[in-house]
Amino acid sequence: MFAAFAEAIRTTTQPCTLLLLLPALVMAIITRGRWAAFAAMCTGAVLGGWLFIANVVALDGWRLQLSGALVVAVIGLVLVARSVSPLNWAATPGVQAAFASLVTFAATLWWRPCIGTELGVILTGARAGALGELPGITAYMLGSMMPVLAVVLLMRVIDPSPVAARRAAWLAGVVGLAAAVAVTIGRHDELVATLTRWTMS
Amino acid sequence: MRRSRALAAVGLVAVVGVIGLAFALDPSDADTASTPVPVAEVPATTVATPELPDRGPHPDLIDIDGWLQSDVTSLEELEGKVVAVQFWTFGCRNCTATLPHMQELYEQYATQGFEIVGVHAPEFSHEAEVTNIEEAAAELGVTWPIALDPTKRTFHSWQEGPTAHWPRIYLLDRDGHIRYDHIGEGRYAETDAAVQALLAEAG
Repeated sequence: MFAAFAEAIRTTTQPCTLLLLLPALVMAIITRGRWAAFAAMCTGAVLGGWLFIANVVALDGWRLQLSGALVVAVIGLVLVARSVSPLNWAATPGVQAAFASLVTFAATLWWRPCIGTELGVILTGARAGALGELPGITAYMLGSMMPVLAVVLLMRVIDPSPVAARRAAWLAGVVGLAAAVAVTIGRHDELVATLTRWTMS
Repeated sequence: MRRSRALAAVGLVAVVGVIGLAFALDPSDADTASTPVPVAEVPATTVATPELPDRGPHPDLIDIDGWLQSDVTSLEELEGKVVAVQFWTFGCRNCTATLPHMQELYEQYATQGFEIVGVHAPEFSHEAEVTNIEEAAAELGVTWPIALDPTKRTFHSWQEGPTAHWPRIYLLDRDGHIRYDHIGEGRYAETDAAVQALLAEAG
């Protein structure tokens, strides 16, 4: 289990997992109630990861674009809700935790995992029954969420002023929105290819 | 408030430590790309031969757009040999990490009736260019036959379910039946044992 957890951590610097992480990192910065959001994101990531290894649903085409649109809508709503009072309901920690879970689940469709030894064993084993690989994929997805946990803790340590927090939220939100728009308009592969070239060069 | 921030700082140091530990304990140094386990040095007793159930004849190669480094143009021409069919693309880190081990297998068993067919299924457009594949093959030490699968029809038709993976290796017995497969890196000793067992079956 630790081997799967550790392997996932090692993939977080690679483009295959960066795209899964990006929306989660954005949500970790822009949401209130970050601990609840982090727990919700872990749940979303595990569910999405399990769906991936179960290999019963195609995770490309219109589903991929729909996931991009969903991330655009949620990040946009969370950002706007910070300053528009009729949307205050969307700024409550409970709602934002639900949003965070939804965004991370959607982002698992963006994931093009690097299949190392441990994930390979999980995927190979999942052919005989994906339920049996739930502990393994849970450890793996939790490992991939470690940078998000680091950001949650960092935000707590820094404890930015309201103005700085708002600026950070908008900056992160714009980056997340840009990636999500690219996925929505069908540019996911180009996004991964670009990240791959950057990291391999 | 101050106490809460201090706890968060301790937690942050711990998380960064765990992340650092995960990188420090990277087993790939010992197990994969840079220093693969030499086949000849894998003691037969360390890994039990995996189960090798007969999964029936291999699927066809579909829409193959040519072969590199090969006189053969179909798997049928290789019947009578134990064949490793590996799905790969040169831009995939995990695929390239397996190649030193594949090279070891090839050098060790080619004279005993073993062959490798690398089905190159590109993930991105630049990986579909034949000249890029040839350059990558030379650079990565891929000396075995390469079947070009630019449309990825073979890649998808061989793998069950809507999502197919790189790297993935299938071992075919001398009758062309699938007897073993593995997704991802690793399990090198197990793969070696499977090759040995399949060679021994009709040898």
